[in-house]
Amino acid sequence: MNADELKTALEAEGAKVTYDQKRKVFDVFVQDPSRIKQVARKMLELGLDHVVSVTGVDYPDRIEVIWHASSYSVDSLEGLVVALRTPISKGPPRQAYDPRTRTYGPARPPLPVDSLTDVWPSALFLEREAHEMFGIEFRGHPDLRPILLSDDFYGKWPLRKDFTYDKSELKVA
Amino acid sequence: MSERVYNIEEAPNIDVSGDRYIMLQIGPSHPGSGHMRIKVWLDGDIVVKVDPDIGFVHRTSEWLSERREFIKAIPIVERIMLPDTIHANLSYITTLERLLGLEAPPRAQYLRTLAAEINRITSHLYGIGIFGIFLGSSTVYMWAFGDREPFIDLMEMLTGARITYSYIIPGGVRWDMPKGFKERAEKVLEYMEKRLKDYDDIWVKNPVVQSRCVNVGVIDKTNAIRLGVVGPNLRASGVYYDTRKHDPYAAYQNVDFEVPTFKNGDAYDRLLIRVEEIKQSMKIIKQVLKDMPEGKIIDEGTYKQLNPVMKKVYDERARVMFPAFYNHMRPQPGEATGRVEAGRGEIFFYLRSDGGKYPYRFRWVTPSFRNLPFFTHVAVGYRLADLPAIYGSVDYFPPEADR
Amino acid sequence: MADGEGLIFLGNLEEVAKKSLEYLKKKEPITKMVSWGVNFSLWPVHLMTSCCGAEFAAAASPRFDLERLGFLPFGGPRQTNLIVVEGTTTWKMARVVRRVYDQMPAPKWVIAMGACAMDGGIFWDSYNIVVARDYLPVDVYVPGCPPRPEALARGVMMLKEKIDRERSNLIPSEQR
Repeated sequence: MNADELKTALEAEGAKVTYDQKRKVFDVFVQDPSRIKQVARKMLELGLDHVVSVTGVDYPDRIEVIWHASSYSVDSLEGLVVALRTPISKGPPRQAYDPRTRTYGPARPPLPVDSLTDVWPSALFLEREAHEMFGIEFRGHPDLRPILLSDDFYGKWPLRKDFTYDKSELKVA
Repeated sequence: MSERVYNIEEAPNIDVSGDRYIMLQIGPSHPGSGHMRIKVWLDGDIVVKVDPDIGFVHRTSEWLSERREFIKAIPIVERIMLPDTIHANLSYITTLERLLGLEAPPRAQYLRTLAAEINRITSHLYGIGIFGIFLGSSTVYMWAFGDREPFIDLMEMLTGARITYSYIIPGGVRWDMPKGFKERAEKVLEYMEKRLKDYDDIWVKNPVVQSRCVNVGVIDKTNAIRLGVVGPNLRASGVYYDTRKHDPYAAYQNVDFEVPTFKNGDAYDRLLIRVEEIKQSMKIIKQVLKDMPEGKIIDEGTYKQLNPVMKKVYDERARVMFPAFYNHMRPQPGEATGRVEAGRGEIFFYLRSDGGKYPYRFRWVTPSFRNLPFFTHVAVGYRLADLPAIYGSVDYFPPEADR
Repeated sequence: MADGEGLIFLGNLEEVAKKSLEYLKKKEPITKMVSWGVNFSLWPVHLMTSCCGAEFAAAASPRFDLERLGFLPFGGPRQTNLIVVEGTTTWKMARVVRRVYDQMPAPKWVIAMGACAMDGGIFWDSYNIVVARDYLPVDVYVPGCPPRPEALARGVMMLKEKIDRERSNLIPSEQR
């Protein structure tokens, strides 16, 4: 299996596939978030057996979730990192800081998308990180707790572009 | 010697809330845990579940790098991987060069390979030394940290800094090899070869070490692949995979080296593989020193943009001064990925630019973070007394995992 | 007998003993001896807060060998009298550092190692960073990013000088 065969196989699943060899970007775009599990299963079948990174990208109108998968077992795929990408629409924007009540308004709820931990167990901690940083709720994840940050920042989703915080709220002891 | 009591597949399904199991917290104020807290659930003294509580050193490198110019991310990523800085630097620059469409000249590629391999040796010696502490052997800690110093001296000669080099820049490297470097490197390699025999005698083939490490913390090939283990830990389980071979960068396609693999995937194999990789790295350094091509250490396009004073400095001292235009790099909109085999495993970079001064998305995953699922599984079923040997053999560096 | 603060050693034996002890504790040979003893048993607690820990480890290794200055890392906070804040502390870590510091017996000292412990260093504008002086009384700052092991040795020497200068405060007046 080489990159072109992989491309045709994934295009048959209804994904939009682009491959830029120079920048090492193999992009599998799935417009409908409910279909990612199916595409991921196909990718696992084809030999992409582990996840390198799970992350989001915050655009003005949507958040894109990206699973970067790669292979240890199929020789010809080992040089590839395949990005499985899907957009989820964003909730309402966060309110501005209100100095009177010293809050930012209610915490924004996380945005739901299917978890791929049952396809790739290596995504276990990576999805937890993406949940905490971007506020993506991975449905079906066995253990979706914050991992890197303390509870002070939970619900503020730091890596979104509209992240703000108030240092006076934080205390050591 | 210990044997595993619980199975890896069934262990996560055990409900640990009952009276039968007790929870023990190890760290973060503990020489063994480093900057992390390990929650361990025990049935008697048998580990049933491991839950690493990490994030004590989460310095938000991604958040900060998205608020800095592209070039200013170099020191940030270096500080995250302190024993292995050149690989953090190299992986970021490799990705950034793909985004910018630059390519470094051959001499710069060789210098990068040279620096990376010296750094890999210091990183492995660091890991071996810390593993020594875990097993209660201060001798090995003293030896490994002492023997790390000649290599750090070499890097200091090459780059001017002890640990944080910031040596690799888009399009090349900052310094050429100084006079007398080759002779000194050969001397250091000769010394290290002698020392490796001593390590074999007192540490690697020591019956005490063997009895504590053989068949402890076993992870087989299937599970290693399933859990996405990286680096030496993956190769200790018998998977032949090395980014240097499978996704070559720098000058690795031109040098001849082997990727050592072992079969058992226990703590002892994870120790052996580090020693073997030191030997391979020394082999690569020798080849690089021999085959180093002549030429520029920075690409033609960047050289043309240097002002006359900087050009003079470059011609006389083979040193690249940082011109101001580095600060105003605006890559074309788009994305790029890059992977580099660091001492502890594979670093992955994903950069996205929107044509502006700052990266739109700066994502990187470090090897220690990717080894976490593996660590939670590998200790299950062994006795608590085996946990230091298992944790030490993983060569986990918490600041690197937390980023 | 210069200060003459109640120097009448008469009366109840127990009280006299207490009084003379308090008197002797402030006098030269005793304080000198205590300061000498403390100076050569500066035991830092083995708590790594960040990446400067790599240089901290190098400082304890053969080439630099800070043990000859009486600087020997220890596991439990109850046996230590020095805490080295190695670089950046996050909010999560700062709470741990503070708790460890509270567990250490007096007298105790703090070395803030690295630029990040001083003012945040390269991570100064991060939301997750807190500097050492915000939650600990720092005695010695060691600059550098990361400081070389020699710089840490210099910091330890400066701390020794400081201990020697303030030797009269070494023994708490209320002896427990």
